[in-house]
Amino acid sequence: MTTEFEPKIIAFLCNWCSYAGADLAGVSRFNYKPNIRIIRVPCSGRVSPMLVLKSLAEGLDGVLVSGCHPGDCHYAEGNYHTRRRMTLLKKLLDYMGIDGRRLQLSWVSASEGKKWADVVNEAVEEVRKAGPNPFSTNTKGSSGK
Amino acid sequence: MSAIVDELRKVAAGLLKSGAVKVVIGYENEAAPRPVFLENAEDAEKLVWNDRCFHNLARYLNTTEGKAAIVAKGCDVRAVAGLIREGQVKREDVVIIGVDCAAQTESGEKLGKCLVCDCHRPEIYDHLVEDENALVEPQTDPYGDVSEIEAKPVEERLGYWLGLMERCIRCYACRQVCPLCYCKECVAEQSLPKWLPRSPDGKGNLFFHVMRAHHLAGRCVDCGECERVCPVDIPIRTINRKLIRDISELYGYKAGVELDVVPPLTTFKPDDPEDAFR
Repeated sequence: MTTEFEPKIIAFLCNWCSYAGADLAGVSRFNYKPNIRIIRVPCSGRVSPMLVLKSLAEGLDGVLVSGCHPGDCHYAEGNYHTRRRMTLLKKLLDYMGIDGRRLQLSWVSASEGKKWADVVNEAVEEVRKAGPNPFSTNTKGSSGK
Repeated sequence: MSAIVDELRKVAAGLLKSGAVKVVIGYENEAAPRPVFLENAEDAEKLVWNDRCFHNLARYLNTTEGKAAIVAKGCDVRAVAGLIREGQVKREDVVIIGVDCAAQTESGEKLGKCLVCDCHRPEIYDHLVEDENALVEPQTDPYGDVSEIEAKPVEERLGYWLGLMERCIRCYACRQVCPLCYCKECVAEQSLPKWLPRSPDGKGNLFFHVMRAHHLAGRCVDCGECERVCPVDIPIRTINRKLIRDISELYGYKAGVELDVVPPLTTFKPDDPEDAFR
């Protein structure tokens, strides 16, 4: 019996927009895929590239970083820094053979519950296409820990 | 060739005699140049210059006490500029003795970075030792090898890099020699939290090199020292130059050429490209 590969994705959401957006998606009862594990951070600018690298090195199939739309950052400019940093990291990972689709990036505001559900569904499909993390110790894709 | 050495020695002796600097960092030993730290004007005779002065002396800038003068090629000067820009040394505490440099060689062959060099003459200096013969055009496409790797499918890229990374013994020579890797404690060696796998296996090494390159994004000046010192010949410049090209294309920035331009990862523009974001 073959079971379809279910990616395990870690999501870093900013406290002010995307986390609230995900909350709204829940309150509004939008269905979305259960493959993500959410971690709340003060700002998407808090997401160090090291968090992304460690997540991938530990065997997670994908990482989703989501913050406020440009111009809406609670700290005025955190997400602008995220934008440069993560754009370069995604390209570098892809270049080094770690499929760039494993790093998913999005802007989701506190009022975009529906967009959050769509973002997750799309991100899960993209990571599914990238396949199981080649560094995972578990062949099904998740680290099993 | 000797006119250059004469001038170099004259400038160094002058700086030391007048007390303008406490130490001159240059090269000694004609047959196999190595870094030397001169504190007396009489010792200026020790200075040499030839096509094997490949060390980037900027590495030693913040290891000396007092004002320092540094003998620097075009690429080295860019590293010095990076250190000044990042507040590691003060502009007024360093005297840059720029030297025109055609190319450096190792075992008779020009270094890869020198074939594509576009900074034969230093852009920032206090004294310039000129050599008209050094001002040659770059020979090859600087990013040919980067494009070649980009053209491969992602699985092949992984195989290519893992094959190389499995050789890495994590000696950290690439980090130690880098003039811009000056962190007192490196994330590669932190244990709480342990950011990266510490054992030198393919996976751990791959993530180490991604981390190393990303921490140098917008700062690397392609002086090529990391690749030169690598005991297992990993083409580290090929990783660095991927970022150098991306940053040049996306943000129009080149590291180490201007002292008053803010590095690309500490600033932003409201209309930066964001194709990667949903």
